[in-house]
Order: sequence, then structure tokens, then C-alpha cells
Amino acid sequence: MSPEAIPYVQSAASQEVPPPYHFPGVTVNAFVWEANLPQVQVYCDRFFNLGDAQERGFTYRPAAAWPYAILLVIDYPVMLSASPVPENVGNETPYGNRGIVSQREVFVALPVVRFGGAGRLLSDTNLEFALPFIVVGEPMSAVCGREMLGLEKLRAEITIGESEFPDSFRGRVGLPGWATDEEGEMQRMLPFLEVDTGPAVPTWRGSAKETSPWTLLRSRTAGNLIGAMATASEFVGTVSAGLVPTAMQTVSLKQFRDARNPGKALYQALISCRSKYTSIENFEFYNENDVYIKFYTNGSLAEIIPFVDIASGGEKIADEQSIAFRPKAAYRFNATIDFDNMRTLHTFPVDRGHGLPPTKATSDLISPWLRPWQGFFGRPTP
Amino acid sequence: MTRFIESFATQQLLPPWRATGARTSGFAIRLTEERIRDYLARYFNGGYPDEAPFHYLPLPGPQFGMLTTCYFPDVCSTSPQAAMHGPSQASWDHLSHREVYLAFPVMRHGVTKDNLLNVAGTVVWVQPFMYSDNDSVVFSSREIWGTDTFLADIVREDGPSPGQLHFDAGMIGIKKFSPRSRSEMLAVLHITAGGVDPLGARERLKANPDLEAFLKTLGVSGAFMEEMQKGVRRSDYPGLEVNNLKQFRDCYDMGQAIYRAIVASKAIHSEIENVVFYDPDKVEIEFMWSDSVAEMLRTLLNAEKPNDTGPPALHDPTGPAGAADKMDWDMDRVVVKAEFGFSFTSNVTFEVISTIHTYGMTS
Repeated sequence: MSPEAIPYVQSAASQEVPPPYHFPGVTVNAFVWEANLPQVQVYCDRFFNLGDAQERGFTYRPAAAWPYAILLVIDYPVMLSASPVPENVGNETPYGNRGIVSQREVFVALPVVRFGGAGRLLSDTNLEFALPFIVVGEPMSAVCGREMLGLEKLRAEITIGESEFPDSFRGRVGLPGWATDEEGEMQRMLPFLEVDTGPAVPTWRGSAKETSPWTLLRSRTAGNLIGAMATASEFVGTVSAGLVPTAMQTVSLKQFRDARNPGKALYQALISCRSKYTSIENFEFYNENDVYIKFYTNGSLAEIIPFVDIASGGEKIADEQSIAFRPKAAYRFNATIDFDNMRTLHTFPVDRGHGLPPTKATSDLISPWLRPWQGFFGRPTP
Repeated sequence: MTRFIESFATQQLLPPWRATGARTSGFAIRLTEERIRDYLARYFNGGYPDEAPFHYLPLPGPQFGMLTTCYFPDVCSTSPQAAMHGPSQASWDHLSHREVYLAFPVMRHGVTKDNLLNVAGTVVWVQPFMYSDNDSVVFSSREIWGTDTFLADIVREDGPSPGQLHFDAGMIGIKKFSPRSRSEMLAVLHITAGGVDPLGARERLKANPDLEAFLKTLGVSGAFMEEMQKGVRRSDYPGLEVNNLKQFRDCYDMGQAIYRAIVASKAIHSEIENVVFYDPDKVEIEFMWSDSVAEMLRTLLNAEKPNDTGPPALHDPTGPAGAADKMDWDMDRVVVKAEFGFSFTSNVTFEVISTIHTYGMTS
């Protein structure tokens, strides 16, 4: 710790466990649809492209080469602290020895590309995932995600199970919100997301056979191939054309309000983390024609809808209360997830008042692929 | 001014806020000067790396804290910012919640540039913990005014007769730390009050003179004591000033903070009615002993181990099921004596006074 570092003092009442984490035995249900790219750009501009492009030295744009949104519904039976060094917890029990937490998580990931500025296009350009919507069942997970990593985590009631038929999937998310924008409307638990599938294929139930490109992967030959090779995560990443994000690098805006003037930010930075998927197995598709995804759009829930909506022109059923559509692909798998590599990509300058100059901008934008080389050949980090 | 970027996840309760018809129950419990001093040293009085121009000390005399539960049936922001909340510019702010917190008064002295203490200090309150059953309140209080708030399941039932209360709080935690233990919904706190104090407030003070200074401190808040308010103007009650440590971790080095500050806020109760003084001999306050809350009980209540076995009688697993029975009550407990207790209904206004010190803001 540098002499000028400000120590964080975890309170005696706190149940926070900081990352990194290790999550074995995770079950992932995933749904892919065409993202609304203009809205993804709006999201990038609102939350990542702050200030002047030349001064900040990068610009986020939708990943045109993979223009999809991914909804992941994840069941974590075991969540462990994976800190490699003993934490500063005094005489208290180290986090890793305290026990096991389990929870469910639901999020929508939008692939975005960070383009480096002039002269740094190659070194600073990177594919990352924005998470405009992320909810968890465990309250301290929400607190840690928000305060440590800047993830826009909310706590939700998440139920998962089987839908009408055996071996199918059903997911429900309820969120505290306001059903209307009428004055005096009280906050209450509202339904927000419903997902239903038919049984995993092959199955004799359900609609006519699917038409997406992933059909090819479910031929007996391809299915056997995936089954045999699924533990090689690199192979799954290749063969599934990115459907299984073997290493998902996220980007989020970490910011905090001024206490007296909550419209003023006292800290704004882009944070990156990595979710690495290994030991991927039991990879199975659902017939996308039998998958039904519904977002409720009433009241305060409406604010998030543009960023999770299907691309304009896509088939959807919309009314005053909801939108519903079918994804391009739907599948499930089991995996081990490691959550690590947290770092501050860029700190935006923030006005401090009191006659003090704004905080200085800092950047650490070198792409992951270049970092080892940068460490080898580049100038030492001050 | 650097603008905060509003989002779906920051539909928060912005200060200042106002609550109507809030029902508060407070219980004075004894604390120790040593533990208060340790708490202040750990959270307020150190060099981080610069020291705040304040030094916090325990008040002279016997030490007390207020364990307070409150039901807010309707809270809404009065911030102009709330009217422009989010991209939709709607005002998402009316909510209800229940909370419980511990607070104790301390003396905040100014420190001169020569590192000398100003003798005259200001009485302020610190809140080592708060539990609320509303996510928006948890996120708002942690992220905006710095209260160390945690989400809990809370059940509060006011009995049919005045002076009757049953309060339970539980949170997700781990009963006994071990690498194979599982988290679960654990009971944390159980409070019951059995009736109205037959002595009344003034007689109770005579019977327990240690309380006098503490209740005068509390009385200045205007938070209660209808009997003591007679003849005193509303303007004489400036409200309780609370000082919180607001801090956020660095994402790379979790032992460091990217922001650390002391935030002063104030809660003022008005239109106080239905004041009831609980009979302290009929009040039960019991903290359930799990490893998840043991550090808190040791460092704040000076409890090295449980002082009674098994769950409270009302949560005996062989008894009839109650609203809080999805919590695990199968733990030993720390029984804390209530020295004084009261309840009242009021309207509450809460506002942030200012961020009185931000660490590291020297250049």
C-alpha cells in the first residue's frame, strides 16, 4: 500500500466478501437475440463515453460483428472466496473459511468494443460486455457488486425450475419497483421477466424443428462431438461461435453520489472484471421456437427496456404492460466460473469543489492480449 | 459539477426525504466506554492518511446507546433531483420499510492546525449498523449518506394494548464458520415489550439516575418525551446530528478505499403523538449469536459469548408458527437489559447537512 493510500475499514457488522470468487457446479441457461444496436450505442454513450473523446482516449461502440444480446440465468450452488492471500481481517476468520453462499443471478450482456484513440487503436481496442441489467438473489452480492465493481446490481426474487414439460426451463424475476408514474405510487414487488422453454432437444415435443444456424450443432454427429469435447472450453468457445462466453470481460461505470447534492457524482470510473468459464459440460440446446421471453414494461421498469429489447424489425408481441419475443438461440450448460481480474480501466476527472482542481483522469486500457507483452517490453508501471 | 449518470439501478431514495406516520420504538441499553472509544478509534479518529479536523470522544459518565426500530409506512424524497429521476424524469421514490439500528452519542471536538482539541464539542450520534427490509433504502443509505445498512427480513407487530411490541430481524448469514458451512436466513434480533411503564418517565429517571444525562441528550432531539416537551418551542429541537463514515473500496486492492469521508446528516421528528413508555422490566432484547454477527456483538456490546441458551421462548420450535419462523432461531443468545424504552408516532424529515471531511482531498 502506498503511503498516500486511504485504507478501507470493513465494519464489524458487514458480511461483505470481496472478490475474487470461485463458483463450481454452476448451471447456466442462456438465451440469445438480436440486440437493438442503436440503443446499445445510446447505452455506451450514456455510461462509458463520458466527456470528450479525445481527452478520454477511447470510444465504446456496439460489437457489430456479434450483434446479439445474451440473457444468462445462472444458478450458483456454491460461491467461495478465492482470495490467494490472507485478507486483512485481524483475528477474524478468513473469508475463504467462513462457509458457502449460494444464489441465483440473471443478467443481460451486450457485447461492446472499446476502440482505442489515435495511435492506440491496436493496443487499447478490446471486446467487452456491458451489463445493463443484472439482478441477484443474495443481498450482499448486490452490495459488493455495486460498491466494489460498479455493476448495476439489484436484488430480485428469482425463481427457476421446469416449465410445463419435464427437462424444460422456467425462470421468473420479480423486482421492487413502481407500477405507474402517478404521484404517490408506492414501491412494491413487480414481475419483470418471464422465460419458458420446451424440453431440451432432441425431443418429440414442441414446435416444428427450429431454423436457426444452431440446428446444425444438434445433429447426432455434432451433438456427440460437443458432448465429447465439451470439457475443452476453448473448443466449445469455437464450435459454439461465441455462445458460451469462455472468458467474459465486463465493463461497468462505477460511480457514487455526493451526499448533499445527489445529482453530483463524486467518483466515476470504468471497471473491468473477468468471468472465466471452465469445465463446461452437459451443453444442450432448447428449440428456440418453443422459447418465450417476456419483459414487463410498466412504470419504473420501462427505463431498462430499450437496452434489453430485440432489434427493431424483430418479431415481438408488445402491449402496454410487456414485450415478448423468441430468441435466436437457447441452450444450457454446466460450468465452473472464476470471477477475477478486477481493474480500473479509466477514472474520469470529477469536480471536487472547495477551490480544488478536478481529480486527475487515469487510464489502464491495454487490451488483455497485449498486457503480458506490455509488461515485458513496456515502461515499468510507476 | 460532474453529473451523476442516472440509471435503472439508481432509482434511489434521494435525500432529503420525508416520512409520514412513522412508528418508532427506542430502547436505551448500556454500552461500555472502552468499546465506544475503540469504535471511534477504528472508524473516525485515525490517519487515512490525513486526519479529519475532528476528534471523537465518548461522552463523560455512564454510556448508553439507543436500539431503535421504526416502521415507515410512507417515505418519499423531497429532493429536486428526485423529480428528474432517471432518463424518464419520473419520480420513483414513495416506499415503505422497517428498520432497526444502534446509535450512541459521542462528543465531536474540533482539532486546530496545531493539533489541539477545542474543548467545546458538539454532541453527535454514530450508527454502527442498521438493518432495513427495503433494497432501495439499503442502497441509498450506504451509497449516499454512508450508513452501514444491511438488508434484513423484519417483522414488527404492535400489540393490541399500548406498550406491547414484538420485533424480529433476520439476515442471510452463517451460523458457524467453517469451509463447509452454508448460508441461511438467520435470526439476528428479537425484541418484545410487554406493557406500559407504571412509573412514568420522571419516576423512571429517579429510579435510574444514570440515565439522566443520556435522556437529556436524547430529549434535545425532540424525538420523544412529550412530558418533557411542554413549554419548549419546536425550534428548540434541532434534531439529531448523525455522523457516518462513507467509504468505497478500490476494485483492484480491496483493502484500499477510492473514497472515504465523514457525512453529517440530521433526522427531525415532528407531529409527535401516541407516546408510550415501555416498562423496562417487561422488555426483552435478545441478539442471536451466530458467527456472522459475533464480531459485531463483541466489539459493540462487549459480549464475549452468549449469556443464555437456546432461542427466545416465543420462537421455541415446538410452539405455534409465527411470521418470523422462516428464520433459523436455533442459536444461543445475548440478552441485553433495556434501561428505558418508549414509542411514538411522528413525521420524520431527514437531510444531509454536509460532507464534513473527505480524506485525501489535500491537493
